[in-house]
Amino acid sequence: MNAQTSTLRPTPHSETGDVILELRNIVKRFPGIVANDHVSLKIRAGEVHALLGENGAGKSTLMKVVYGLYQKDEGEVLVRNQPAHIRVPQDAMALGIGMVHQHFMLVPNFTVIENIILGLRTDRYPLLDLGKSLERIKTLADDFGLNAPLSAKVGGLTVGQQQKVEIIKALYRGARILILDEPTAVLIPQEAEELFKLIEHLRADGVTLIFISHKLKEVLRVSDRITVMRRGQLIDTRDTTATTIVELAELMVGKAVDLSVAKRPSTPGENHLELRRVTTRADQGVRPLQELDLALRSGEIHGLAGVDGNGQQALVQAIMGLCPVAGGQVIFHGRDIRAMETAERISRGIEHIPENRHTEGLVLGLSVTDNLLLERFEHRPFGDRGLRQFKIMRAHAATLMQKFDIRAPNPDIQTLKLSGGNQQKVILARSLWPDPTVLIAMQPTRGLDVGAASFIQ
Amino acid sequence: MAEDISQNLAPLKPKARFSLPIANVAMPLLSIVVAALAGAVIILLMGYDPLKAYAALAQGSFGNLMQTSETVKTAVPLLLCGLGIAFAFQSGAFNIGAVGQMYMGGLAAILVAGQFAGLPGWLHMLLATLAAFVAGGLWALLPAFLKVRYASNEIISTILLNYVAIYLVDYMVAGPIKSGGYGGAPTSWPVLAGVMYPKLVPQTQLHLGLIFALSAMVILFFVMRYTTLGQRVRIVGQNRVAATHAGIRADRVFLLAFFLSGSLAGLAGAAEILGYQARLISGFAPSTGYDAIAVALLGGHAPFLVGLSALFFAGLQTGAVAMEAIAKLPAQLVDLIRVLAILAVLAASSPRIVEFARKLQGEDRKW
Repeated sequence: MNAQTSTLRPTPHSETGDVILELRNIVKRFPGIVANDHVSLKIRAGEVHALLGENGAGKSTLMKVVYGLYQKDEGEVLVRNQPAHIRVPQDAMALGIGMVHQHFMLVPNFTVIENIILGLRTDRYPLLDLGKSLERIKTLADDFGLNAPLSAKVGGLTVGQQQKVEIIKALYRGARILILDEPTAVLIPQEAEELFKLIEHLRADGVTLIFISHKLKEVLRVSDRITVMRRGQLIDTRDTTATTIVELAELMVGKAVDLSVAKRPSTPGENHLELRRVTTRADQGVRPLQELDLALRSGEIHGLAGVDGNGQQALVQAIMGLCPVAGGQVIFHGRDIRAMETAERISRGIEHIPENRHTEGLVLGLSVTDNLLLERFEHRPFGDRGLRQFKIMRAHAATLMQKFDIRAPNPDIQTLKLSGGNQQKVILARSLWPDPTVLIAMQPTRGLDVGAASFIQ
Repeated sequence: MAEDISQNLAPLKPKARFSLPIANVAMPLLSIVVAALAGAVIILLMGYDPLKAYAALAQGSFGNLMQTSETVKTAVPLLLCGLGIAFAFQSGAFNIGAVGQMYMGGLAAILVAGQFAGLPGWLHMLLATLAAFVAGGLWALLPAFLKVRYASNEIISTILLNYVAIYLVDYMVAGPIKSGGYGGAPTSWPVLAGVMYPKLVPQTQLHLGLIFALSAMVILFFVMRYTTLGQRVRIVGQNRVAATHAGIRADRVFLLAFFLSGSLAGLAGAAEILGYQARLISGFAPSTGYDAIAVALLGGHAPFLVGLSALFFAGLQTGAVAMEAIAKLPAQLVDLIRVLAILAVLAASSPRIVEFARKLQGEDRKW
């Protein structure tokens, strides 16, 4: 595409209110699942249209069909009332459709400007025309408040800035319809706030926005209209001003939901585990802890909030002894346990539920029994003088399966064959039955349905 | 595939127990059959009679007591190395270094067995065997350490160390431990009288090494099946991160597994030298350690099946001679069949075919 035809052109005719993008009976199947089941949707020019639904409802799939990343199995896409044949993202871009993915498609070692013009042809092809591009991009960057030099390497920018680069990249390529896939998932609250302002700004410029999200509050905050999807089907479209958070939640889940969580007041006691000015080393992309202080008292649930990748992993590693602690102390029942092996911490009552059950929590090729005893197969009575006691292990596993409602035909089945929710319950059962003093749970409700999640609570 | 269909009719029966033989026995057998058929076609194209050729092969490998004992003798180092490779594989890594570990074992055995005259024979024999065991283990520990410490690829480092070991043996037999006598291929000093493994059956080549190999097979089976150590190795091999999270010191387990893997190959070296070669010769077992990879693969890393597989590959080796003599076929044809069998096993262990086999068994249901 020629750079000159892009950037924000004044709209030749009033687009507002007309249907700019129409989907008719879109069907997209994946092996064993219908991701989009005859979805029909009209997006009006100039609106902010939210696509709301739980994980796996088919929102992203639908938009990837529009953007040419997936091929639809049935149905039609119309752009500005013309049937559109979108086979690859380049087709979508030519029609003025841009998409910002949840995981950014940027080259960290390239500068902002290099990323934005990446893959575009200039008049001087095959040479770059950085000078000419620079002016236009600078206008866009100033306009949208990208507080970063265009010559900065993208890898050094904050997540919020990188997202802006992605948006500018799409606009520079002439996007008039911009799809944002879960844009707030990676942002901290202040950055999200900035994003909402930017969305306002774009709408004022006449850009049509499709905002994919599963967060009710932000959808109500930024959108003009809201379409709810559930299990691949389009449930309904509402005007934002004419709906409520409770109504949306019900549409999303398909039944009445009590959004409040009942909690008994706790009576915190003595300190069980205390972190004093704990510092860890940066290691393999895990953000280290810097002089973290934390005290966990008995009987309390200590919530740790934060966007992924801000040290939660390092915290778990420090407490479990999975990485060396460079500075500070980890005190458990009055004793510094920095030098203690992970196995001993576990047997002394520090349990954890790893963040990723497939890579950290389970050995998928082994049986449910083996996984339920992953931490204790060598302890009596399950292992006796180095020999495994199969009968005792199996009976123990059967008991846990019943108690924790793990649905599997028998304890010998490979853990791989369990559904995600049941796999998570295996980990829960494993870390809860020894009645631990301290339980560190990383995203313990991930992949659980609402019923199972409330069991954890 | 009739039994698969009948299994599908009764899907509620737990059949985890039945799934093992299908994957571990049926597929290797099928790949041998496929290799034999492909080999037959090639023999036909070359203008020979495949039936005659295979008959000669069988005759030459298991035709009479002498031939059978020769085959079993050949199987001993294959089995030891194969078990070692299978064990390393259980701990999650490929040990391609059995050649080098076996050479180091042979070198250590001759160093001890050719010296220290005056020791009681049985003790001397035991010490030489132990030296080979430790030397092979240490030679394997090096790449394992490099992997644990610097994340270097064990496939490459074990292969490279093979060459180091081969050339070290070449150097030793050409210099420091060269035999005084005749010329020709450089050889080491001989094993002292009374230190050679005793024969199990007179007039045959069967020696004590066979007992070592069979014991190793049974012990390995027992360890992997019934002990917590075996379970630790299995967990580390299948998911090292989860093992660490569960409090298992994965690096240690891995180092131990690799040490034992190399030890078994070292033992194979001792079996060759003390079993019948009686001295260390340059290039004394150039391909055993590599053939053992195929042995382990065909055996699906299950000890007893590795045993059968070692016997099969040894049979091909001894039968080749007879095939050449009786059916007047080039011995290289046997190599061809052997390679075809390996290729067929590799194909059969490819994820896509394993997946297909699972589907036939109706095992892909989610719970």
